[in-house]
Amino acid sequence: MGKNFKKAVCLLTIMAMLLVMAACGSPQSVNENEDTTKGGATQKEEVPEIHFYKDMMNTEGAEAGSDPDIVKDIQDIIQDATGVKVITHFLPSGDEYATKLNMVLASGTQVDAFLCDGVGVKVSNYSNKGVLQPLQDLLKQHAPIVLDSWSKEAFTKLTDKEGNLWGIPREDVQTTWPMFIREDWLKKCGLEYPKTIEEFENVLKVFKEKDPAGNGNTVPLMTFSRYSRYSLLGGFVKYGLSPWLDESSGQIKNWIEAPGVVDYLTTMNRWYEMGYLHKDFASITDYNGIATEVAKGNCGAVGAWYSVTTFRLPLIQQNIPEANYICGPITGPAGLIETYYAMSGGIGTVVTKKCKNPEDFMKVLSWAYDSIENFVISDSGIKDKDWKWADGTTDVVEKISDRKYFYDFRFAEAVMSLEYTLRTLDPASKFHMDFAADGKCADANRAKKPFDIAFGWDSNAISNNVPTLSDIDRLIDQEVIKFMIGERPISEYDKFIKELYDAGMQDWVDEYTRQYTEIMK
Amino acid sequence: MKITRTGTIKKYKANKMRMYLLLMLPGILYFIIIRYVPMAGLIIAFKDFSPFEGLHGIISGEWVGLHHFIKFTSSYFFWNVMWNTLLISFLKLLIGFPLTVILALLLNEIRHIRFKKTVQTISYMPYFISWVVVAGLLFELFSVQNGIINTIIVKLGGEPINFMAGGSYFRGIIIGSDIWKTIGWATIVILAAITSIEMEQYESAYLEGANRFQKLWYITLPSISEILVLIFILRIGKVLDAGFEQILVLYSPAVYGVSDIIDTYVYREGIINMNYSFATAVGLFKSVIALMLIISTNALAKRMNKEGIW
Repeated sequence: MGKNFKKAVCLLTIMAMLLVMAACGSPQSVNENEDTTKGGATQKEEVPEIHFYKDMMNTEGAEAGSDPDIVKDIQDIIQDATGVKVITHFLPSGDEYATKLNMVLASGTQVDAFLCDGVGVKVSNYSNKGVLQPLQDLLKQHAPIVLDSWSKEAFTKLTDKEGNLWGIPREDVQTTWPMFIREDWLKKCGLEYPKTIEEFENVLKVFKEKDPAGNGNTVPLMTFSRYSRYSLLGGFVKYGLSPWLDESSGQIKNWIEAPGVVDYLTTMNRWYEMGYLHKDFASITDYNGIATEVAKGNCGAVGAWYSVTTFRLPLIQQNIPEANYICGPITGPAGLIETYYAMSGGIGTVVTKKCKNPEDFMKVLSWAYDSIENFVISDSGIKDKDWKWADGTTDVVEKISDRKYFYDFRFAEAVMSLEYTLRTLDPASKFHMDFAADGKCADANRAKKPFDIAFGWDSNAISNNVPTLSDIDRLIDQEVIKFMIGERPISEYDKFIKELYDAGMQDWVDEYTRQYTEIMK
Repeated sequence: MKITRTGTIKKYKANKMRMYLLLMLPGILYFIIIRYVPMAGLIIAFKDFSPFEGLHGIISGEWVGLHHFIKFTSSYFFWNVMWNTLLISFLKLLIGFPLTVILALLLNEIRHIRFKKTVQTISYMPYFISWVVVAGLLFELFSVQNGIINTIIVKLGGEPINFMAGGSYFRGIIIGSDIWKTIGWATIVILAAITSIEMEQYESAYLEGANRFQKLWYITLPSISEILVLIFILRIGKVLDAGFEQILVLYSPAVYGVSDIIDTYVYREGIINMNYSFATAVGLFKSVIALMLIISTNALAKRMNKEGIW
């Protein structure tokens, strides 16, 4: 081969490698369909834009994204009404949401607002790090309707002690951890919906013995450690899943030390040993894991976030048309088993400091909260193209198109006066929406209020003054499940509490007590 | 070539080398830009860095000295995560390394070429399967509810075992699945080294009456011993990387005690909670330990009259 040919090959190889390096090093769009730039909004002079980030909310199929046409249509409606173009970017749900969002925020990509899911992405984490801008004045001036749409407690959770409101609630104080039980199985087994823990345990026993699912596949109770704290703990512990005031010492203590916790752990262990719980109960740790099992149609009772069941029931009914889940109040020795979900200052829609035009986002929110029709547009698409009011109604949504839409612009989510008043004819979400529209997301007869329902704990102070907070959380998670599955005997509970204090629980107690004392002043 | 001055030889060599140096340029640039320049960011291990301030935060962040290192080493779970990391890594090394060598030696002994290639391909295909998929397979395989393993156990009259939530079994699953996934791929380098052994040695041994095992013991193993030492030294350097991705998708609170390693601990504390300074401090801590291990292992190898990395 000639010398020149060799040279040419070498040069081409060098250029190719440099090109690859340059390509690998260039900034990537999180959403390939969207145009994001570093360090500044993609603002045209005429139309201000808002870049909004949210997770896929464990919605099946959301990875593929919404139909671009429906997105454009809704964008246009919002733009016509407010003069603002909203661009929504989706990130994966779960733990990945936190990782990806943090990378996006750190990379300098323009993020004007984002949704905090309260799990890995909490409002308090970002307000503590100076990422957000306070909203109380913006809402008063530009979107007072938002302030009127949520309860006082919902805002308290997102307000710091200086009075800065860091987020717009995404969930109100609500009863969304029901104990659903298969109605058709209850009838099959000649049982009524239980009213007490003892009756509930009997239901589980009968389900186990009679095996309504067949072939030994019946799972009498589907839940997992963390979810059962919302759905069951209240039956054993006065305030359910909540810090509580130990009147003998005047201190605020962690739920794990509350009287009745030992009974709760003992009962869960007994149910596990008797085979009432899913045998892989200890390995299931998230929404998707439990949802997958529920969708199989083998679960007699489900103690989980309500949408696990409400969205799976239609899938079960495809094979078992008579399947149905019902819920109601069940009491234990310490009262109702379900605890109100009162958030902890974690969930909400937030606006970043980088947002140059927060008033424009407030206009969008005002539009979204303004009427039920606007809400349904942001939730389902274009009126008379994607949905219409079912004949003779103004609260029953009938879907009339197949365009895929994953709630890109649903800013007024979970507002009691909007979303929770609607129903639908769509079988895939009818049960879900009826649950809320029937008032079951705010059913005071079914759930007890946690001790701190009206308090907003200062999470910044907590993370500063309790340096071993994550160690404490890990120790609780790992030992509670061990007690439940019998890997650790209940007789070692006191030893476990001592281990917690060795891990720094006293700092936790001192900090929460200090904050409680200040709140009470 | 006419040699007139010394400079002419140098100029000739320089010209010849220019193209090769240019060819090395992208690789060198890669290491400088992607590996060395970011080392300046290690400073955030000694600062309170907010990622939302961007690069400016690296300079303006508050200096905290060894605060993050102290926070890590004084954590309630420090010794637990260190022990898990070292134990899981050493078990993977102590079990996986000899098995890799044995597999390579066995593959080398196969005479039927097609069968050999088939076995090789099957053995390193798992390497390309993502840990997320492997985790799904393992959860299905070992499920107490309806996994194949427990179904067989029950059919044989035993009680089902909670492998994925039982501390005593879970470590075995981590090590076993890692070896299954990586053993085939790891044999490639060893097989390449074996194929470079001169055939004359085997022929001489044959003439001397050596059997297969003796050839393996007296020729193959000594000939590849240096490459094995090099691979071992490099693996020792990674002993604090016990398999983050694998453990993250497999573990659950029930088995934190036996499987929570430095990387998963830092992921929860440092990455999800956005304590990037803390995560960097722990990463630096790991790197220093790894460097010390590589230096000492390299020195030990040289003492044993073997080749080191340097």
